Amino acid sequence: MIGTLRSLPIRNKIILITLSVTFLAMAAGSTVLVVGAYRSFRRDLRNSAVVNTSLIAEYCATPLLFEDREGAREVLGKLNAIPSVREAVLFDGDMKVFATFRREGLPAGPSTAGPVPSEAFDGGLLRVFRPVVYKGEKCGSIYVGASAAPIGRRVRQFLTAMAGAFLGLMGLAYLLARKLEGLISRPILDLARASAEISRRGDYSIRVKKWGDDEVGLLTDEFNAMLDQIRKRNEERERLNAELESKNKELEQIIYVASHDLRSPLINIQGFNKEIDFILKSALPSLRKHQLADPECAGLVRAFDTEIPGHMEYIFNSLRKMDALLKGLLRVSRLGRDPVTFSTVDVQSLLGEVLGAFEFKMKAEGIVVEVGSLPPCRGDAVKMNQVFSNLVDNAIKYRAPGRPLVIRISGKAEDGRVVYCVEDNGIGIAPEHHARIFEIFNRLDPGKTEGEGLGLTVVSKIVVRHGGAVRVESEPGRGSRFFVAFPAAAGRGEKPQAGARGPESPGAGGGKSGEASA
Amino acid sequence: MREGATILIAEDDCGHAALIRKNLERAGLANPIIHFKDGQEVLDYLYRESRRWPHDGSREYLLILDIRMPKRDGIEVLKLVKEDPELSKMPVVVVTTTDDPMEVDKCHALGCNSYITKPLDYGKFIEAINRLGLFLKIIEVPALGRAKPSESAS
Repeated sequence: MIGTLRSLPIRNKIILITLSVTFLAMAAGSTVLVVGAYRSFRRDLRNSAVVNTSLIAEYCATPLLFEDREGAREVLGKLNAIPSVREAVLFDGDMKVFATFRREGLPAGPSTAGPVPSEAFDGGLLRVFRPVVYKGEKCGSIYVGASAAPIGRRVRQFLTAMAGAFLGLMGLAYLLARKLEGLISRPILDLARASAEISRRGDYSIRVKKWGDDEVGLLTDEFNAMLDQIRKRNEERERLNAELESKNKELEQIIYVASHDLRSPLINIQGFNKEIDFILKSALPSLRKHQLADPECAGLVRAFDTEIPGHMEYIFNSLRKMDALLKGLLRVSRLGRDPVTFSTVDVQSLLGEVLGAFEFKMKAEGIVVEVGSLPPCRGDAVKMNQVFSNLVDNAIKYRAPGRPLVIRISGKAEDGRVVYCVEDNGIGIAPEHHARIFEIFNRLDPGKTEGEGLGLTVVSKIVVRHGGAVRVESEPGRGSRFFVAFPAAAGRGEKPQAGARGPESPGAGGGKSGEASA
Repeated sequence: MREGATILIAEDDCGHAALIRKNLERAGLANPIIHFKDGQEVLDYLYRESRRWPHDGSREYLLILDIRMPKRDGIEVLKLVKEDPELSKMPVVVVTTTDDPMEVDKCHALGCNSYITKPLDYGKFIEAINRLGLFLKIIEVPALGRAKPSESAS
């Protein structure tokens, strides 16, 4: 009941409350009035009956004294003119019936006199007893029975009038409430409408009209001030977003153009370097022949045969390195542009594919891989394959020379995402390097291992593009743990999908499975 | 009697063009080679020439096309060539600096016959051209030895 009332529109609530209060007040007032009127009607009836009875009693004294029954009946007969009087009985001094009056069709009154003076309502009748006194001496008594029906009639008339007034006033109250509820409801409705409009259109420039200085007015002011703040913050955020987006685009463009256009001169350097190499090599045999005839050519032969090719080898190596760097830049910039196609990924079988690619190397090096139970997640299977490939590749690359490498891969679902962990017992990473290892082209020990310094950059970029996060825990000399978080798989509806291969994943049912040890 | 296909090189970088020409010649191709410095130049030539073609297939062309070029880039040239009913018979080899899969897909979608990334491995390059050529009979391969393409192409 209260619940239904609570969800009534505010206007109806105001009208309902007004009408309820009005109704209660009027009902209470009417009750008091009706009771009062009823009482006053009774009083009136009694008074008039008493007066009539007293008057008749006076007229009846003479006939009683002279024992004139005819005269007494005549006197009583005058009561006929008073419509409410039903019956009358005159008693003599011995309380015997002396004369009676009755309206037609009605039984006669009481045959014994009541105590005088007295009056009482009895059923539909008001019974009045009065003494008949002559010169101070009581010579008999009189009874008059008056009908109480006029009271009921008058009360009914009064009630009808009251009901009319009641309805009229309720109607008036309703009209008034309808007219005035706007005072309260309009500012509130305005607020409600404005906030609905704002959330629908996302337009924070809308302002709510203030109707007065009451509490709702205050609320309106605060609401408008809040909108101002939101709008300012939104504008600032949009500006920053646009700036960020344009910076990002600019950066992607720079990387793309750089790697594209920088490779062009590189190709010339490489190509013509090869041409020079070719010319040197073709010139060498005839130069050698000349050397036999002319010993001064020996220096030239040495230059052509060893020195220049040696220098050119440095140039070639630098070119190869530069080419690799540019290709890496291009790859990273592509990662930022390629769309991520989300589907539910069966990471267990994805890992099977990833490890399959390393199988040969793992067998040869005696590497042990333990794969735990990996929950599915949402992601781009191709890109996720890259993530795990890079992490496993890193683990192999940076293994500790003194002990056999053990790689543990596990996964755990936690609030809305799945965190996978690739753990190794390799050389580890000092804490001061933890943040930098994800930077582009950053390599901790460029001399010892091959690679462009892109593996973890790619991992981080892919994970971030999935809306996930990447984190490392490591202790130098003990090993590293890389954590990558991906969005958790949505409900049951979708069928998990992992690359091309079926469910031949290692350790599919959970637990651990050894992989390739020699 | 066939005089051999004409090789058109559309390449804004003269160095790249010179290297391609040199290596093709070293590989033993005796075909005439014409170099164009941008996409517009090669299109102008093709539209002019194709009007004079007797349409009997006696004059054949191979287009080696770079992508990043001034005025009209290689993608535009490729699109226009493959849209033209006459020009579209000409094989097009896209030779460019990037192996961006999106670009490769785009070129294949537009109908390029081969896509090769610079720097060219000339052995493979000749093989690719030769494969197109064997099919179209456009290239005469003189047996000059050294860079002779592998026989597996036949």
